[in-house]
Amino acid sequence: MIHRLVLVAALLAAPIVAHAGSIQVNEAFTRAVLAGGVGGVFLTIVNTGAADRLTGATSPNAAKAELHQSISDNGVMKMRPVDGLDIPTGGTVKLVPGGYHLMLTGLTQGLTAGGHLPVTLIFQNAGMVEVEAYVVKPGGSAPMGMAPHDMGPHDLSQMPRMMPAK
Amino acid sequence: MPTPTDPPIPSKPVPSKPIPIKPGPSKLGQSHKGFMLGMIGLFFGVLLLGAAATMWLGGSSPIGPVIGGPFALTDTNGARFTDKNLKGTYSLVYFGYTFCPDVCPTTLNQVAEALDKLGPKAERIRPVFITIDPARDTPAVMRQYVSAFSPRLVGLTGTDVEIAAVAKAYRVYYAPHRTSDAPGDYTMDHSSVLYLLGPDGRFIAPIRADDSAEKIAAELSKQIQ
Repeated sequence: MIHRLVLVAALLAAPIVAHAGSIQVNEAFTRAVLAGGVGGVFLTIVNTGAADRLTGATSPNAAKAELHQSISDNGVMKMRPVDGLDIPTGGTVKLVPGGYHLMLTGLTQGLTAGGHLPVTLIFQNAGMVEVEAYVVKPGGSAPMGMAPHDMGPHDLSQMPRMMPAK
Repeated sequence: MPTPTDPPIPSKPVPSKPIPIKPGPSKLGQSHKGFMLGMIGLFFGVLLLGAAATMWLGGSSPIGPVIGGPFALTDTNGARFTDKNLKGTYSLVYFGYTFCPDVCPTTLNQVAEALDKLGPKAERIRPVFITIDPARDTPAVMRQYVSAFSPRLVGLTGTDVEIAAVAKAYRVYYAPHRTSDAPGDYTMDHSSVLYLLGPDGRFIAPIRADDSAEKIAAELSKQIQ
């Protein structure tokens, strides 16, 4: 069963919050890109209940959505798929540029700044959470109206444990 | 398919360390072998000093590899673009690929924002994006991609051989990483460093690609006379 609760504020750029059970997803954004390109989706997951796990994602606008991690290895950037992300009890997990992201490939249409991209997150316990990711400019790190925060790869203090893909 | 090239340079200069000197024979005349080893050591030591002095006088850093050099690539209009086209203005060069969802667009946006913050000095800097994924990044793909960041951003691609050559010159490591068996399903591992070149086309300094636009702007302002 898909739980859906999307709160849309009057302002276009206001953060969109979606939740299912004790999982709440906010600050979801992606970047403007041409059709056929790849998209990265970034968001914040807040868990007010028992431990859960993000296991995957889908989007009606993309052929495939995978959970990826960007890794800086002595100046070399690598991207690797990860099986899932543990969302600890009462914890907050951020998917930010330079850290984790959802990588969308085979976008069926281009994404224009100011628009929205529907994405469904799949959690082990909470089930599916539908999110509308706000589209920011190419390479942008947060839409207007979102709380500004450090996006650098050095800000990984809140990053959860990675489970490498098999 | 591109092949791995030389190891990447670190995104910050590695502090030079003194060359460790092997302790000589503990006693004079300990052995003929020890004496010969000492002489060989002295010989190579002199050679090293000579090489360092030559590089110093030549205007290059006496430590580390020389970065940059001749290349021939293709711009987003399909025209040839060589290292000679970089002369006359400062260049800020970044290697990446357009199918990169995270680090490359983040960096290119930070560069565009840094140039916005820099004021008049920004007019003397040409941002350049060179793909290390020429199989997918045709001139047409590059044209659409770079124009989304800045009308001033120069996008360059080339043949596998040409990209391998320019990556080698800039000590850029790159290698495909398959994400599935389907053709075209791969991401690229690649060095992520900004290279600042002078109006003479010579390498001046690396700049951290993961720095904020403010820090990149401050570094550019410091380096540009």
